[in-house]
Amino acid sequence: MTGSHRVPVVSFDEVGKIYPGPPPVTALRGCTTRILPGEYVAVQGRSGAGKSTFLNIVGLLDRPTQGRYLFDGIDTSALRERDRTRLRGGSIGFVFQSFHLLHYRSALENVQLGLTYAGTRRGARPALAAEALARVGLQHKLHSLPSALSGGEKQRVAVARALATSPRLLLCDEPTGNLDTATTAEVMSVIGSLHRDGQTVVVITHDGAVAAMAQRVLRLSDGGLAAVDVTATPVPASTGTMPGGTR
Amino acid sequence: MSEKVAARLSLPRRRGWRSGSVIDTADEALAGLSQRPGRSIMTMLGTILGIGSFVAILGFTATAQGQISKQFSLLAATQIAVTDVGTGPSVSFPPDADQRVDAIRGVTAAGVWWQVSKTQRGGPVQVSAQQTPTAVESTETTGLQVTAADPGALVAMGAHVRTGRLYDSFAENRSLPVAVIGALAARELGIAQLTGYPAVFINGVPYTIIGIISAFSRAQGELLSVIIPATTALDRFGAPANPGASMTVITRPGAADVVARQVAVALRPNAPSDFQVAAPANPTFIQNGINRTVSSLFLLLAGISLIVGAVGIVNTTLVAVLERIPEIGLRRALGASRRRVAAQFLCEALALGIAGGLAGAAIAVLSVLASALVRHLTAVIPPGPVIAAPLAGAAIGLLAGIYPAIRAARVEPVQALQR
Repeated sequence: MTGSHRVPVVSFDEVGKIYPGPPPVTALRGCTTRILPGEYVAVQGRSGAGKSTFLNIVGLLDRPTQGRYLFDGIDTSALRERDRTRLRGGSIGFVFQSFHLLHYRSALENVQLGLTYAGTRRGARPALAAEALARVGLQHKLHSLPSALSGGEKQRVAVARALATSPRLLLCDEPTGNLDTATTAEVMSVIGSLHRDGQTVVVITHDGAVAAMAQRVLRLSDGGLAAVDVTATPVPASTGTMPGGTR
Repeated sequence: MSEKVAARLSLPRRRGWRSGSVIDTADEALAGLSQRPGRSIMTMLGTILGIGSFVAILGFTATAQGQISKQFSLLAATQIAVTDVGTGPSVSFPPDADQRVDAIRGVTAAGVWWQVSKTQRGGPVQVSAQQTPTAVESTETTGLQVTAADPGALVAMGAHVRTGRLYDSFAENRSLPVAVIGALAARELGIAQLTGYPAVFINGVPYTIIGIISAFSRAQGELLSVIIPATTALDRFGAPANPGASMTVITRPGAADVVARQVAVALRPNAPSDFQVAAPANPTFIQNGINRTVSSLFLLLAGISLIVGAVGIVNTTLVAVLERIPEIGLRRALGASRRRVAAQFLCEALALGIAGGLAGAAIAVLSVLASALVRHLTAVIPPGPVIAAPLAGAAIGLLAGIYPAIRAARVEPVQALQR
C-alpha cells in the first residue's frame, strides 16, 4: 500500500469489544487494520458479524475493551468523554441508513447542525452549509423541509451535513439501506466524487455492489477481520486533498 | 490533553460556554418547542394554571380585602348600638335624645327606633295596601313589620331614597300619619311609585307613603318594613316594651370607642345604666384576622396548583426526552456534549416555564379586572406577584427540567441511533 509514511486516519491494533452481558458477547476481536488519508474503504459482513460495533468504535461512539485505536495518530483510549465528543464532532462525519434529519428543520438548517456542534462560528455556518449542499447537488433545495425531499435527496442532505465540517473521515453506515437501486447509484456517485476529491471514506454495508465501489473491502466475520480485498487502485497521495482544501 | 488534541486536529478552541453556544442552545431549544406547538401549550397549561391561580388569588384577595376594609371602616367600625334596658314604664330615651347624642364630638348621625309589634299595647300589627287614603280598606293583610323611627334613625340606618323623600322633624314633632317603606315592602304592597298619594294601612289606619327606600347601608332588614315617625308610633301604639327601643349612633372613623363611653351619660346623666352600649369590635384586629385566613387558604391552593404545574412540566418534558432519543443520539454523534444536551432540554423547560408564567399572570390580571368590573368593585392587583410571575415560572421550569435534562444527557448515542 502506498502512503505508509502518512499518519493513518484509522489505526486498529488488535482491537476487540466484549459486551459484559450477561452472557458476555464478543462483538469484535483482534482487529488490526489501517485506513490512510484519502482511502475509500468498505466494511462488509453479514448480520451479527460486528459491522455496527466496528463503526461505533471507529466513529468514537463506543470504546474498545481490548487493543488500541489511534484516530489520526491520537490514542483515543486516553481521551476523556468530552474530548472524544469534541474530536468526533470536529473530525468525523456520519451518514446513517435512516438519514436522521430533524424533520422540523430545513435542509440548510440540518446541515448547519453539524457545524454548530463542530464549533464553527455562527456567522460562517449558512455559507458553509449552502456550499456543502451545492456539492451534493442540492443547491436548489436549501430551504426545503425533509418531508418535501425524496429518499435520495434526504441522504444527500445527510452527506452534506457530514462533509460540511470538512471531516477527517466520512463514516457511512448502510447509506443505501433505505434507498432503491436508482437512488443508491445517485448517492454512491456523490460519495465517490467526494472520495475523488480526497475525502477519506469508510462505508459499512452488507450490499456487495456498494462495497465494490470502494478501493478496499474489509470483510468481517464473527467479530474478526477475515480478509482484505483490494478492488481498485488507491488514490495517489498527491491527489489526497481534503474537501475545500482547507485542512 | 484537550488543547493538544485541538491543536493536533486544528479544531476550534472551546473552553466553557461561549455566548455563541448559549445562543445556539436557546435556538435549538426554541426550535424543539416550536416543532410541537400544541404539546408545548399543553405543557405550559400546568404552569399557566399554577401561576395564574397564584396571581389571581392574590388579586381577588386584595380586591376582597379592599372591600372588607371599606366595609369595616365605613360601617362596622363607626356604628354604636344603644339599647334601652331601663325599667321605667316609658322609653328611657329622652325626647331630645338625637340632639344630645349629636352634640358628642365625632357623632355624624343618631336616632331612636323600635319595632312597633313590641309595644306595650301589644297585639299583632296588620299592614295592608290600598292605592289612595280615601279608598276602601283592603282586607288582605301582609306579613310586613312596622318600625318606629325618628328622622335621625333613618339617616343613621343609611337609608337611600329611591322615590319621594324621608320624613323630617316637622312630621316627627306633629306625629303625622306618614310612612316611608322599604323597596321589598313596596313590592309586597304593589306600590311602584308615589303618584296619587298611595297609603299603607296599619291596623286599618291609613298612613301616607312619602318615600320608598331602595337600600339601607346598615339595616338591610328594614327593606321589608313600613317605617313611621317615632312620635306617631308612641301616640298610636304606645311605648315599646323593654328592652325594645334602640338607638343607632354613627361616628366618624376612629371615634366610636370614645363616643361609646360618653353616649349613655349624654342621654341620661342621672341614669346612664338604663342603656346598654355596644361598641364596635376592633376593626383592625378582625380585618387582619380575615385577611390572614383568606390569604393563607387561597395561597395554599395556589401552591398546590403550582406543584401540579411543575409535575406537568416534568412529565411532558420527560416524555419529550423519551420520544426524541434518536434526535439526542444524532446530536451526540454530531458532537454535542452531555452538558449541551442537558442545557438544551433545561432551556426548553425554562422557556415553557417563563411563557407559562407570563400567560398565567396575564390571564389572572384579566380575570381579576373582569370580576371586579362585573361586581362593581375596585380591582386591586398587587404588582409584586405579577412581576414575579415569569420569574416564578422560570424557577418552576428549571426545577422541573432538571430530571428530564439529566435523562437526556445520559442517552448513549450508540443505543439512541439504533432506534
